This record gives sequence, C-alpha cells and structure tokens, in this order.
Amino acid sequence: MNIAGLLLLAISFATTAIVSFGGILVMVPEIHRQAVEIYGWVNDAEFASSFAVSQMAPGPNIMLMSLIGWRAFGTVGLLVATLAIVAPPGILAIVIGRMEVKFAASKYLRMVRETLPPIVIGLMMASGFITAKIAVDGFVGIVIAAGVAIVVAVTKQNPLISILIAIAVGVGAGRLGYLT
Amino acid sequence: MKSDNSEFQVGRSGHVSCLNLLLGFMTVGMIGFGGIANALFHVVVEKKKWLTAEEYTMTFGMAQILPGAAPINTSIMIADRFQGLAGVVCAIGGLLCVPLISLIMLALVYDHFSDFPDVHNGTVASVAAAAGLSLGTAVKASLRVLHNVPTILMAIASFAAIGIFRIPMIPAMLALMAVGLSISYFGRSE
Repeated sequence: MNIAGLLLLAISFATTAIVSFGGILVMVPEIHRQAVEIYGWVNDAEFASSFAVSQMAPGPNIMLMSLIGWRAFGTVGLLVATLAIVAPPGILAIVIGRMEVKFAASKYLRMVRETLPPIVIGLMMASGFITAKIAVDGFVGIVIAAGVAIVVAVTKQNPLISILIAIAVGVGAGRLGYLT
Repeated sequence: MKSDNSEFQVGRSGHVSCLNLLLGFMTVGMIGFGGIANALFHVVVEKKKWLTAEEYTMTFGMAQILPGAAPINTSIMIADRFQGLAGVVCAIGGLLCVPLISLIMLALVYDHFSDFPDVHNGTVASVAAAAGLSLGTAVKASLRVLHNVPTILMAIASFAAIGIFRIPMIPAMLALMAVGLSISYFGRSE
C-alpha cells in the first residue's frame, strides 16, 4: 500500500474541503490543479471521465473526488478520499450545529454571509471556465456548453434534463462526424 | 437576532433512531441524481417528517455558509441532533454506501466501453454540459447578488485568481475574504 501517496491524497482533499465555500462543484479548478497538474493522480481525460461518471451516479457531487481516489489508489483510495472530503467540514458542522443559537446571532457570521456570495459567483465562473477548457474542443462542445448555460440561466428546469439532452446531442453529433 | 431559542429547536434528541437514520439517508443517496439537495428535503421533510420545512431551511442555511457540500453538512447536523456522533456515522454511511458502489460499477462499465466513439462523445458532451451548468448558475446568481461595484469587482477578482492565475485555493480564499470583509466593514462605518 502506498502510504505516502494516500497521505498526500488525504491532506490535499481535506484542505480543499475545508475551504470549499459554495459547495464542491466550485472546487473543480482546485481539484484539477492538485489531482492533474501537481500530483498526477489522473490525467486530463481520466479527470473528465471521472467528472462525467460522478455526475451520472446517484448521490452527492463530492464523489468526483472519491473516484479520483479510486483511480489513483483503488478501494483504500476511494475510502480515504471520501473521508477526507466529508470529515473536516463535517466536524465543523457538528461544532457549529451544537452552538447554533449563539453563533447565528453573531455579527461575524452576518458579515461572512454578506461577503461570500460574490466570491462564490467568481468561483462558479472559474469552475465553468476550467471545466470547459478540459472538455470543450470544437464547435459542438461550445454549442452544448453555451446552450446549457443559457437554459440554466433563464429557466428553472431540472439541470439533469439539460445534461441528458446534451449527451444525446454529443452522441448524435459524433455519429454525424462532428465530434472527434 | 430576532429568532428566540425556542424557535431554533431543530429536531429533538433521540426522536429518530440510528437505524431509521441509516435507512432514511440510504433512500436519499439512492434517489439523489445530480446532487442530493432535493432528495434530502423530500425524505427528511416530506416523507419522514423528521423536521418541519422551517427547521430544515434553517439548518440548510447554516450548512450553506460552512465549507463543504451543504447537503452533506445538513445531513450531519440533523443526524447529530437526533443521535450524536453515532447518528452521524449511521447517516453518512447510509447516505454514501449505495452511491459509492454505483459509482465504481459505473466507472468499471465506462472503462470497459470507453473505446466506443459514442461513449467518448457522450462523456465529452456531459462534461461540456456541466461547464455550461456552472456558467449558467453563476450568471443566474449574478443578477441577484452583484448589485454594486465592489461586489462585481470581488466576483471578477475571485474568477481571475482561480480560473486564470490558478492560485491555490487556501491563500486565494483567505485574501478574498480579507478584502471582502474589510469592504463591508469600512463600507458600513462611512
């Protein structure tokens, strides 16, 4: 068993998790930076497919990181990665949850609540941008990404439907010879 | 704040057993496609009636400003309220076991068929769609949140730091929060 590698994985994912304000999906750029660019646990293609598979499976979005753990270190990697993502924010949630009443009233919390939204919007934009850079090459990809972005921005439709339509478009375009 | 303590009594200790937490959250994991937020509300509030909608919203709101996935933090806070740490272990175990097994089975199926052009194209398309999803959500939220120059500048700075300059998340977040908090602090005292 690769203890040193597992330890790096745990530290990397745990530190990402503890600053993941705005959810895990906005952390895609950071996860990609660490998993692909720094540690090389997966390559670009594996990252993209892990992202797709983790979205298709039922359950929480954090499973992108679980799957990267599994690709790099097998079943132990799966469990270590999952625990590293869930535990640090989870412990914080338990602590805050138990002192909620006092904390909710604090001025600090209100200021954090007001400060975060624009930062999270920037992170979401970055996430979309980096994800697009990983996956989108060519006309069809641009059309799909832009189309889904517009549908999500102007309607309240369940995003899963857009993703399923996008897959159908991708497969169809491939059959017609438009996607490599 | 206005809310008095009696209003904030989310759930009662011991009200839901560990086994029930395990089974309830297992359902959440199984039916939660594309994230578990909707499934969580459905099971906890509508089906099992463990919490009222108000209690749930309050807990979820608290979880949202914490780091980590909000639905998971919400699950943890709910389970802790009912059964303490044992409840948390049951709830998270239940929540994740089916999804993790399906995840690996899907990954194995994917690996087996990844050479087929249809599978490859479908994957690329779904990731492109996910990129669009992030961008579209950001645009939608922008209209609500970015209502003055400082908020617009903050959003641009956070996009550039992470998306363009690829600054590591921890220093970037610390710097952005420091700037944001000083803007709201000094902005108010003026």
